[in-house]
Amino acid sequence: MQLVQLQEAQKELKALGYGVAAISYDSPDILKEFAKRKSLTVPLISDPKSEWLASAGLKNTEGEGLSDGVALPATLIVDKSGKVTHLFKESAYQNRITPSTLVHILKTGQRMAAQETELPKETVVTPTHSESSVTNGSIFVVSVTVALPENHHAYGPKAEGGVIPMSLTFEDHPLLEVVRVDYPEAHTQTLLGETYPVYEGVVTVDAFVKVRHEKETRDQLPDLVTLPLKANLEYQICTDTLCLAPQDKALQWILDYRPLDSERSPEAIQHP
Amino acid sequence: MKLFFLTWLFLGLSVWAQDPLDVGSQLPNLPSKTTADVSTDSLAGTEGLVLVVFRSADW
Repeated sequence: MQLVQLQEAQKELKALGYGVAAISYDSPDILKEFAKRKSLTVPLISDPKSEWLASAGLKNTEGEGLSDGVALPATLIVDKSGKVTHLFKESAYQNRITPSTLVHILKTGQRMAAQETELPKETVVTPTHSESSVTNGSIFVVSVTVALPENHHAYGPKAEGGVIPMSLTFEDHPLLEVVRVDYPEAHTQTLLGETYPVYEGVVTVDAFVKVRHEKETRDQLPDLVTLPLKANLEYQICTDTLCLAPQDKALQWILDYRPLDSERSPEAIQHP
Repeated sequence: MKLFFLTWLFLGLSVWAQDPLDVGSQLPNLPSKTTADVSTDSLAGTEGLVLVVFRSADW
């Protein structure tokens, strides 16, 4: 499932300038058969003795039997010099950041670097998500982008002193877990003699969300279901001399669910 | 003395072999066997490479 999704995202990742590959401890025969069966053109790299995995610190040293030599699940983004710029590691193989989320992260990074967004006349709040279809263990990003008018600011999450800091809070959901919420770095500004962390221009808050993979969770999910995720965004917009009423905006993302793919390789080439 | 030195050499190599990757680390050279028609040295694009480390294609 995950490699099929990576295949689907390959074109977008390449358009952003990134090559795509995957590595495991499988033999070349297993990888070739799998690539043919799933019509994959993403290069699959074989590390049958887990030597590369060990050198990268990504070999599961507690694996036994079929798991002996298996990799710890991870996704890396590496720049053109070979330096790791993003690393997503999970303790359970069922959890995995989705390829669409990687596209989302890379696009956001390139857009922020380019700083080419035009500011609106009134504050605009836009929810987006990196993945519209998820499965057990998927890790994806839901985002809120707040575009502030010129000469207006909002307060960072650590602001104090009577102002309303920006805050994104989620309603509990039995099947979804919010792993973390990332706020961008705020810059400080002195207003009426007080110093506050503030945001100006366009601000994006990202929340990493995981679909639980436990059996009890899977039993609750029929073949196809939509998963609604609700949140509230609190913030306050001010100019240098005037503050508007605090806002508490209700947000919702709707996700489709896909079941896991559990098909194995042909028996003749399966792991012993 | 020799045993002491060999012990430290073994521990050092063990740590080196298991040093986990982190943001800022240099990616070790990838193995050469791949399903692609090009070598693993040529897999990166103009900006870099997305590498997924997965459990198995078999199970």
